[in-house]
This record gives sequence, C-alpha cells and structure tokens, in this order.
Amino acid sequence: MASINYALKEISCKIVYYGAGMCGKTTNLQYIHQHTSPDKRGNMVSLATPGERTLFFDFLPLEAAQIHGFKTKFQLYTVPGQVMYNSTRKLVLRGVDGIIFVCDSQWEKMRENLESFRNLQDNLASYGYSLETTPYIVQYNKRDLPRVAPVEYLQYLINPRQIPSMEAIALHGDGVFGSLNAICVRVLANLTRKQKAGVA
Amino acid sequence: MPRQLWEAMRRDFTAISGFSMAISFVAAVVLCLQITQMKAAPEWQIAGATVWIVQLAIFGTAVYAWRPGISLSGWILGILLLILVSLSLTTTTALTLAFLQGVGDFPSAFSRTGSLGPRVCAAFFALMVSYPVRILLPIRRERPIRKRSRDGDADAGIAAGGDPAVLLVGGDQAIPVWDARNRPVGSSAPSTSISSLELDGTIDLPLGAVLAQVPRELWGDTAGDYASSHLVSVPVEVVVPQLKEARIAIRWLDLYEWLPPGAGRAEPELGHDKRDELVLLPLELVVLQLPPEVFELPEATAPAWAHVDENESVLFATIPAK
Repeated sequence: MASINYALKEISCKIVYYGAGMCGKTTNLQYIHQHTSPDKRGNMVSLATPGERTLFFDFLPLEAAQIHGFKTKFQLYTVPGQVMYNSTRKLVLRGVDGIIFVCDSQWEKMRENLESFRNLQDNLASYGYSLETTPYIVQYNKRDLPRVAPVEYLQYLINPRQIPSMEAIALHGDGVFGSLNAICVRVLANLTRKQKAGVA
Repeated sequence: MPRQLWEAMRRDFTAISGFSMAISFVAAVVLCLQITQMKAAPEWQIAGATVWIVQLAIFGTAVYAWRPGISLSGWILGILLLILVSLSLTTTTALTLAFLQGVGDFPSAFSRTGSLGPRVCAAFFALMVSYPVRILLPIRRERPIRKRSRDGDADAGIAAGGDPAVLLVGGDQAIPVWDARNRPVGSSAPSTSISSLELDGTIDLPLGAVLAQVPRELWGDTAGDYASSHLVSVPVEVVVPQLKEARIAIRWLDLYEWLPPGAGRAEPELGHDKRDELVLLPLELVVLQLPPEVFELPEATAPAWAHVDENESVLFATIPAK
C-alpha cells in the first residue's frame, strides 16, 4: 500500500504492470526508463531469460513532480506473464496501489488476455483486494500489428465496465506515458479519498 | 444438387439406417394388421378431414423439430415424405390383409386399413421409418447478418488456401482489418444486452479456415474436392454466447452437420470422444462478421476511483523522443 512520510514530505506508491506473456509489460517499463531524466529515476532492475522473458519481475523507481509539496515516488513493477510463474505474480501484487493491465491486441492472444485478467482478479482476491477498490486501467498494446482485434471487442471482452483504457504501441512509446499518467492520477486521487475517509 | 444429395446419402445413410427403416416398416405393418383386426368402438369414429388435419400437424411439427433451420421447400418435402410413407404403410397392410383373407378382397381390406386405428398407427410409424432420411431435407441458406468491415459494405471474407489469416473479397480484394485505433475508447455506449438482440441467421466461414481447426482424422474423403473458399454457414446463436470466452468451440458432431457433404466424418465407429471433440472456430473471422450491436456495452459502472478530473496529470521529467 502507498506510504506517506510526513517528516520527509514523501509519498510512495506501487504500480504493477500486469498481463499475459509477451504482451509488452517490460517494453512499457523500458520505454519509461529510456525517456525519463536519469536524476528522476533509479536504475531499472530486470531479471530476464535470454529469450527476453521476464523471469522474476522488472522494477523501476520513478519520481514525479511535487504534488502539494510532497515528493511523489512511484515504484513500477512488471510481473512474469507466463502461466507457471503465478506465485511470483502474486508476490508482486502485494501492497499494490494501481495496476496497468496490458492487453495484447492480436487475435491469437485473446484467450491469454482473458485468462490473465481472471488470474489478476484471483490473485488480488487472495490478498483481500479487488478491482472494485484497486485503481487500474487497461492498455490495448501492439495496435500497429496487422492482425489486431477491434477495440470494441477488446472492451467487450476485458473491460465491459468501461474502466479508463487506451490504445498503445509500447515499442514506439505511443500511449506509454498516457497510461502511466492515467493510473498515477487515479492512484493519488484514491489515496486522497481514502485519507479523507480515514482509511489510509 | 443431385450430387450433393448423393454425397449426403453416401455419408449419412449407413447400413444401420437402412436396417432400422426396414424393421420399423415391417413392425408398422404387423401392428397395423393387429389394429385392423380390432373392432373399433363407435365413439372412435372421427371425420376423415379431422384425421388429416391432425396428421398434417404432427408431420409438420416433427419435420420442423428434426431439422432446425429447415427451408420451406424442405419442410413441405418432409411432410409429403411422411404422408407417402404413411400411405405406403396402410397400403402394404391392406395388401397383406387381402392376401391373408383371400385374394381379391382388396376393397374391403382398404376400407378397414383406412379407419382411424391403422391410420394413427401408420402415421406414428411413418415418423420412425422416415427419421434416418431427415438429413436429406434441405435447410435455409439465409444470411441476414450484415458483414462488417472498416469501409462499410464489403461482403463476407473468404480465406485463401485455408489460411484463416487471409481474407479475400470477390477473389482478391482484401477486407481491411477494422481499424478502431482512432475511435474514442471508454466512451459510454448505449445499453443493449445480447439477449435483446435477434440472434437468428448465420455467418459464413471459409471451409479451409474451418477444416484447419479440425483434426485430420475427422476430414471426409471429399474434403479436398471443395475449394477452401467454400462457405460453411454457422448459426449466430451458437457463436454469440461464446464471445465472452474469447473462443468459439463447437462440438464436432454439430459442426459436421453444417459442413458440405463428404467434407467431414462422423461415423459411430469413430467413438464418442472423437465425435464430441470440440473444434475451435477462427475467432477473427467470426467477430468481424457480427454486427456492432453485439459488442455494445451496458451503461458504464466504473467504481468511484475511476472518476477523476481528466485534465489533471502527474508530471514526470520526460526526455522527448528523438
């Protein structure tokens, strides 16, 4: 969960990129890493196999501009998408503040997307969290590929509640910062709301 | 058409079908004979027209139930077939009766088999006798579902060479993949539930794309004789409920019914596991043919955290892309 250090005037939030294998979670993080000022981010930690499959998780600490005098830090994580690494995914979700669900738009990945989304719900439930209370957005990635499903079908499949979603081409950076911004705004707003309600 | 009929006959009309028809026929004649020997009570005398109306109603219902999606001509053909079988049963019974009672007493035999009891018996046995040939009755080929494409009115896709990825129109014009990239995402859509949509009609899938999903041992002898662009009509009501699962799985026996004659195999010898095997239809070809109303979502029900001032943003020290 987000931590607020009043002495240091610092807020720290955890954002997790979730999705099926090879959907572009690490690519999102790599793009952010490459396109943020080095003094406002830490080193990207990535444990991957030679086949560029995430083995454990990727991690990127990132600092945003001050909000109401508070230094705001985001810890960006990805999870390994492969089905067999569920315990790692579960571990990474512990204390999550916001989720970007990355969806591979290719037709042949539809079922994997759906299964990954259901897996996300199950793993959140194991901590007593739910998508009802945890902010998330949906990113439809790989929109530049030739055989992609229409967004209407993706929405119908993954996002019938019409949670904020956006199209992206993470490899070229399209929609990467847009998605990050959309989730960060919601995480901070949720934090404020919780504070007012005396939950946080 | 006669070739297709012959193919259907060759594929679906097995020796067991013929045997069961013959047995039913003989059993019907024997039972009709028994009933003819019985003396009917006076209150059982019903007007001939009433008997005909009831008989037609039973035949019409049976044919419709046998063959979902049957065409009008097929329905009429089915009823005529049943009447013919029914009449042949009563005639055979009459001839047998005349033979047993003494040659030459045909009028008396016919009048006895024309009474209510034998006719009802013949009508019900006609259903049993004709059941195996129901598969030869033609079904509807209507296509009310509008095909969908980015440019509007392009017609159904045809897969070339069995590759479900390649869509062709009129031979070589490619259907553009529907590009939703520039459409607003997350906007609230008018409320329409699937149940409120009319799910009649069919969508057409290229045979090549369908067979590509079917295990080779289930292919029929003449599967290779059809062009891969030959269209297979699949009822919309079968695919729409499965869209939420991101896959369209059809039991082989059901799919087999929609394939052209000889393209598949479904003999009982294949066993239940093969005949009940699930075949995945190419999702892309299905979804792109469905009308947009199918994917309309109900009113947005996003939780409270989802609503923020969209003008707000968290600033990151980004380096502009080169």
